[in-house]
Amino acid sequence: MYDLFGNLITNRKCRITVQNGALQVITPYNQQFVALVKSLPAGARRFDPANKAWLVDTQYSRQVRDYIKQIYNEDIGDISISDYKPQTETRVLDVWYIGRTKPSGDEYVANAMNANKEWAFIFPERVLKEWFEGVGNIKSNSPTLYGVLGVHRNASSDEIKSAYRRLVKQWHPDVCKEPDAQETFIKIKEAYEILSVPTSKAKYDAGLAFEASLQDGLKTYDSTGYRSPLRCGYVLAEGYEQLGRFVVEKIIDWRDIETDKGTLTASWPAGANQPVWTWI
Amino acid sequence: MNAIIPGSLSAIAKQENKSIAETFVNADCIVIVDTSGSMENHDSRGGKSRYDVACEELAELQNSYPGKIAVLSFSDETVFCPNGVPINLSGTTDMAKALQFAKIADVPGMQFVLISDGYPDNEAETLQVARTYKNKISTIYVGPENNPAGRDFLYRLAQETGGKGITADRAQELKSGIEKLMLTAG
Repeated sequence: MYDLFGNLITNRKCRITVQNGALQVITPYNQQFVALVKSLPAGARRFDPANKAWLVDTQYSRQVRDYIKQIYNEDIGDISISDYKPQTETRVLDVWYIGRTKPSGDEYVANAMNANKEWAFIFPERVLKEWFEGVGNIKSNSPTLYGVLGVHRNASSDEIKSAYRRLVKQWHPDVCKEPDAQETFIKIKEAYEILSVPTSKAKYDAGLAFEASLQDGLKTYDSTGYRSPLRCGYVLAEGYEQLGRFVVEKIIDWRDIETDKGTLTASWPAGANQPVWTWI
Repeated sequence: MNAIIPGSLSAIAKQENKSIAETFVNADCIVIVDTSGSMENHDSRGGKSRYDVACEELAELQNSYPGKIAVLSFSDETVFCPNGVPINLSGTTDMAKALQFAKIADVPGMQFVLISDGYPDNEAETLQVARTYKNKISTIYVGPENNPAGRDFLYRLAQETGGKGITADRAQELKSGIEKLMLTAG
């Protein structure tokens, strides 16, 4: 039976459409169905509260149809998935908090919050390391001292000093509530002690080069999670939209979020359910 | 070889929970060890090879000066050996490439000690690279006494960079030799 506009009238409660290369799945609420969708990899599904829909990577269309059949006893049928190529674009991201990288599919990624406290951005570990360490896919879990201060390897002494001043304020144990604030604060001071003295810096650079010569032979490494030295900032980045989130492919610039209240810093205290923001 | 010599950069890095690069900041001597085929000659104490004795002497040295000595080994390739054991590479003696590799650490205050039985693949090229060093390169000859060409070359290399050239009796006086060079450098 068709309605006045020629649309097929069905009694179906569930609907799947393809939008921007992702499945938009709308179903009545069912706890078991939610649990099934959540069993898909975290990077492959996301709930879109505005449309009360699940956004799911198209590669999981068969599983989603099976879940609907299993829970709602509805046969969705074949879904036409065209070859969607995400459009790369450049955006300024208002990053208010970025987490430690975690495994997602084939790589490690960090989720990041925007000013509305939505997990709106995804930063792959290799992109963060490219920016903060100067090397993509660096085969080490520990950041270099440059990474600790969040500066490039060719940073001038003024840039190193400025990064140090900003980070000691951000990670001072009296301000920062993260569990390892004290440890990170000490690491920042140690990094500065080496990088601010030209001879020590030259020796450290030589040590890095020697270390890198050893890493050339390594094929893989197991990440234990990389943490960006900066928690927030206006980030000029290239990337693409996926499941309603912006996946960063390249960081072009990273600036502090500054107002007359000061510079925004963020930390996530142990046991808290969201980050704490402080203007310093 | 997986052994970590006490006092080596790896051992100190592990002990202080730091990276090798951070540990390297406190190193002030780079020992570049020739591990080409001729270092396999068993003409050292107790019938041991020059290479084995060099390893023993270097181990003692790193134990005496923890975190101060970085070891590189070379033949036709050069390898950084933070565990303190020169990797036995065999092959030819590309000393020029080894000096080129080590040059990145030619920073103020660094000492270089080259241990070899002489005979680089290319003498002229080796000397050319050595002359670009800002620091002195001292040399220790560990080859046979009746074959002075290798020793003479190493002496010349040391002289060209303002370093000292000494002879160790088939590698068994390396520790004292390096200590002597470290103490008299400057």
